[in-house]
Amino acid sequence: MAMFKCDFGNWINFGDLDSDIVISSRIRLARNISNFVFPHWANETQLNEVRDFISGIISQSDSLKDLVLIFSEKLVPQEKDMLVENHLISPAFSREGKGQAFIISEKIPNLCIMVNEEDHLRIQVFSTGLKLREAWKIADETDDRLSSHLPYAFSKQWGYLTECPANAGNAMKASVVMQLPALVINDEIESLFSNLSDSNVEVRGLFGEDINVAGDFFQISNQSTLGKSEDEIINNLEVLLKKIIERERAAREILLKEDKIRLLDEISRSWGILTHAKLISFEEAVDHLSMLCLGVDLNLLSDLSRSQITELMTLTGPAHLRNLMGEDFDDDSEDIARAELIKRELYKLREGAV
Amino acid sequence: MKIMFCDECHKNISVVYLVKVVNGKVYKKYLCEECAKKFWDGILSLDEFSKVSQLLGEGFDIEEGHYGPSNLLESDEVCPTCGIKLSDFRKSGRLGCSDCYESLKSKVSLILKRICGDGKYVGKIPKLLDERVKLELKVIELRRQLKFYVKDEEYEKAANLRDEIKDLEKQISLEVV
Ligand SMILES: [Zn+2]
Ligand SMILES: [Zn+2]
Repeated sequence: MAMFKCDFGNWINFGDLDSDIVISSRIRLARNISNFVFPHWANETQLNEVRDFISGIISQSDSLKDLVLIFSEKLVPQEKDMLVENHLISPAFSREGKGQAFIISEKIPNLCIMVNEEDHLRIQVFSTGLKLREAWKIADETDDRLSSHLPYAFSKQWGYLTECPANAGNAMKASVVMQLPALVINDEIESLFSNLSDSNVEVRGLFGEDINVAGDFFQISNQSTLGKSEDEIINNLEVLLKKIIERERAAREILLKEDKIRLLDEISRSWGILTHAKLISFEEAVDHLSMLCLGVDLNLLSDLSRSQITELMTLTGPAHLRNLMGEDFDDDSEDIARAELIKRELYKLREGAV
Repeated sequence: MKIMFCDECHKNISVVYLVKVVNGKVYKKYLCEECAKKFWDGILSLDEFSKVSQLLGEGFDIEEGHYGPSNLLESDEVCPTCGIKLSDFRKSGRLGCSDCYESLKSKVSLILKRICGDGKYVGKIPKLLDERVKLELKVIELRRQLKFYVKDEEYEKAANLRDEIKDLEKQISLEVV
């Protein structure tokens, strides 16, 4: 448990350029081992065979010495929840668990490889801010180290062979999570997205009139990977992201100029709720905390830093909270503990008022 | 303001919408607060519902390669390595093993053509691959590069690259025993 605790924090490291808009970057490579049935169709014995095979190769190879393979069933549910909250593994992966494992590295804190998720191996590298290129470099090197020992399923025609043929090709998914509150408030999101045709990207977001639900986060990723090199895909995505960042910056300027009082009002209300609530759910906390983030980004909240607020977001996730308190809570006591933690931390961080 | 009901539970009034942009097409799903929370995890974790099942769900016929009702009377092909049938693939959008790419080739290529166009493989090469295949892929990559040079009128670079390609091709022919 303690091991995970310190590993997690490491990829959360702020202060980069554009990290107020691009929250995080991720590269994921899908790989399969030849002569083994793909995970979806494999029975438990077959899943265990792949896992043992990978595990054996890792423990025998000097160049893979830093990698640690952990069987999923050895994790308690709470540890899995924490991995999901940190976006290190997918919720589906944490639910099933049979025959699955994940691999972390003693040298590379932002690497997490899922074994027997949709494919035999999914190599993932995370980073804060817009750092696709750096993440790709690490994923590429790790993949080379693995492919020197593991016989990958690969064909000249289709590239890396994946369970779902739509992922075949170089089988790389590059994605970022962006926060675009000003574009949402100014109602520019839809026009922005409809102009993305031919750009080979996929956007997902959850937003609406009632900002109280999920913050203004969007995930943007590349689509198909056949016919383009990894570098091309990352270049194209970066060009597009720069454009979105520019639009969000422009929208923030306009908001500040024309609607400063409305913004200050919303930020102050969020501050008020966060420092006075007695019960607060995770979703509500994230919303108001992301409002504070916006306040910091627009220089309306001077004494707080973005990293402190984002850290608070991670700390108030259900699994983290339970881990921090060291007890099993019911929902109410979880919400009470969250409200107390946030209040205490915010007052500690800041002595004044908005 | 228009009142919309939640696309998931059809019970509550929607407060947010989930947006997905694929090929410039915007797909929206109106959600109530409760259902939105359920989607929240999936969004940040890249837990995608497969594009293939999506294509099949939209009525794409993998037998014919176009949209329309599929001809279910046709015989069911089986991958001899893993035993997955074409109908299993049709239902799930998932292949059984890497050999399926060969044994169900005609269907897989139709799907990939639909999703990725006619692109040839470009990208990394696994370390354990045959030297010969590595060289062949290298030639494909260099030929692509060559096209870019010619387009940009960088003729000197293009000429050098052409020589390099010739050398590689000579090596490949020598590797054939
Ligand atoms: Zn609903
Ligand atoms: Zn097969």
